[in-house]
Amino acid sequence: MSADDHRLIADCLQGDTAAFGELVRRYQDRLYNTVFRLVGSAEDAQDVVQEAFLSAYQSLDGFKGHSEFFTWLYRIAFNTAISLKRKQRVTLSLSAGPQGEGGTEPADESDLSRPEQSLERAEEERRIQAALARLSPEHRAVLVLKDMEGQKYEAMAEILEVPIGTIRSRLHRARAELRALLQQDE
Amino acid sequence: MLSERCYRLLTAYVDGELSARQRKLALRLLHRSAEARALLRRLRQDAEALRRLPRHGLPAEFSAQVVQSIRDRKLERRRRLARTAPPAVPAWVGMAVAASVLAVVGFGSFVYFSRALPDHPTNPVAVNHVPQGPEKPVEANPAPDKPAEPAVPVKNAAAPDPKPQPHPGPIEVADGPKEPPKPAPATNAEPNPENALTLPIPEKEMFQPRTADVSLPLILSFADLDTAKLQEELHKASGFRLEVPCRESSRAFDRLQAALKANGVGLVIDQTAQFRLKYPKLRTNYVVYTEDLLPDELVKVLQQAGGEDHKADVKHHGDGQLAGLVVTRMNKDDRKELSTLLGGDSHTGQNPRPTGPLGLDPKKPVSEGTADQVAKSLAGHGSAPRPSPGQPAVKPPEYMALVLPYNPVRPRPGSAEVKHFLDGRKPARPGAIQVLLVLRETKG
Repeated sequence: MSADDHRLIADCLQGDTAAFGELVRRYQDRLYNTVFRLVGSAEDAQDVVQEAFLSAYQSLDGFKGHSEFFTWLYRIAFNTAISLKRKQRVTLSLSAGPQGEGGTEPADESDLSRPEQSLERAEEERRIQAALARLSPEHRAVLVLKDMEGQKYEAMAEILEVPIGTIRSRLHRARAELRALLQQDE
Repeated sequence: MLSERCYRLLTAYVDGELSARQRKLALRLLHRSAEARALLRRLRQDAEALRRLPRHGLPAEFSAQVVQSIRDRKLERRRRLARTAPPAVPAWVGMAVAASVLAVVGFGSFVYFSRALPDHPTNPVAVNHVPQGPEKPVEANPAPDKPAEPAVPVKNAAAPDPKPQPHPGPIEVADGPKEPPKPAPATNAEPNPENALTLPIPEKEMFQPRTADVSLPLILSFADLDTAKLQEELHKASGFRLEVPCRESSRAFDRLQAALKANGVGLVIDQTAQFRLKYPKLRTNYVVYTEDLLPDELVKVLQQAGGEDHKADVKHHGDGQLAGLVVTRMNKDDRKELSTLLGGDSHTGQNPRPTGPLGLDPKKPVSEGTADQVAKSLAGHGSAPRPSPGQPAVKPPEYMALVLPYNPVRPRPGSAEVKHFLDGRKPARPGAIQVLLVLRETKG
């Protein structure tokens, strides 16, 4: 964890909510992106991220600093997402892009010069996203954490609160499932 | 075909988390196997595709909203209690003192009350109150017109009852408040007012017993299927969920498919399910849904499937796939799940669409359906294949069942096969049942 994060957390613990705001600003996009891939809906992802940050604020005293702040934050967000799903019985959205008002796609200027390339990319994105959405939540979570967040097995085990062997096994199954779904589409 | 072990090695290779020894093994595998190299390339492409997914962000003012929410909700941090100095007296000493105080109080109470009660040789638990003088006995019976029923007397534990009362009989649990249970008639002709106070007053009871309809799952063995029990169960409701644990779901499905076909049930198999059935290594659970069969017909199918499975197991030990059968009545959650599997089709009940006297959907113009059928027949895609010259026409199956992947993947939304199944639904026969049969792989 960076020295800056340490300082901000220390300031938060002293009662400085603006310092917490800075922490939110640093991690909001990364957390949102991960949660969005997990829940599949922009609106739900925004709700989950907001609730996660509020829970994190309340439990900041419990953050010991042994792991990365993001790891700890992601665990809160993951549990919040699971609780939300249980409450809402959310079904996954299979749309190619984010829904609702929240979430923005980065502008890609190359779309104008190479339209056929952007179409191919959009199609590939749609395929991957559809396949990801059809995986079980456990498989989706490990793939997102591994491939999109670049997390190690240990961090993933800590986030998902399962043994490393389970992470290994889930990743294997998740990759096999994803391959099978994409192969079916080809 | 690569073994499961090799597949695992390659997926871990993509994860980049192999030990030195595992890495050596993986490189050796890649060196000698073109299939492994091709698979690794594809797995890496998949991982890369995930990494290339666009990143989504939140509006810039999101952090300010969070801080504002903290202020609006007046959230406070859950402070951890500061550690206090360890007490001079160990905790166990306090607990021991508390336990001894309780023991003393308990013993003292026992001694006091045993001495305070009136001198009675046997100290009964309950004492019948005998009203004195002009005081009327309290009527426990709420119906004033009826005479008070003789109560079940409280037996004195020590003194034997001089007039042993007959056993009142089992108490019935029924819906709604009831009169107190009627015991067997007492030997005296007149009701005994002394026992009136011991009668329960139904309207004062907090717990109102109700009849509970508890349907337990019926668990059967496929090898030796108790058809009588199964038939009896299948006549009790209109929808059932059948769980079939099996060794390999694809092979179990083959057995079931053969039995269904032999009994005139055609299968509409979802495309994803078709694909996964070809690759048993992709451990998949399947669900078979049918709503056309009568209970007896379903029993016949299951009996046949179980019989064939048992024969295969006898021929080659371990070849049996169907471990057992668990039958439960379809509940609200099952129907909801069914609706989701069918793509949110709200008509999860049988006979979903209104039909005219000829079995046609009056909402659909006849000409449209006719044109569709003609076009399909001409293209060779009609419901029945064209008979070859000199060969009898193949009769289309009378009943249909839908096969879908159940776990870990679900059918595609808008699956053509689901749509085909739903479009081809016929009005249900009287007595036909809805069945959700789940083939669940249990191999470890």
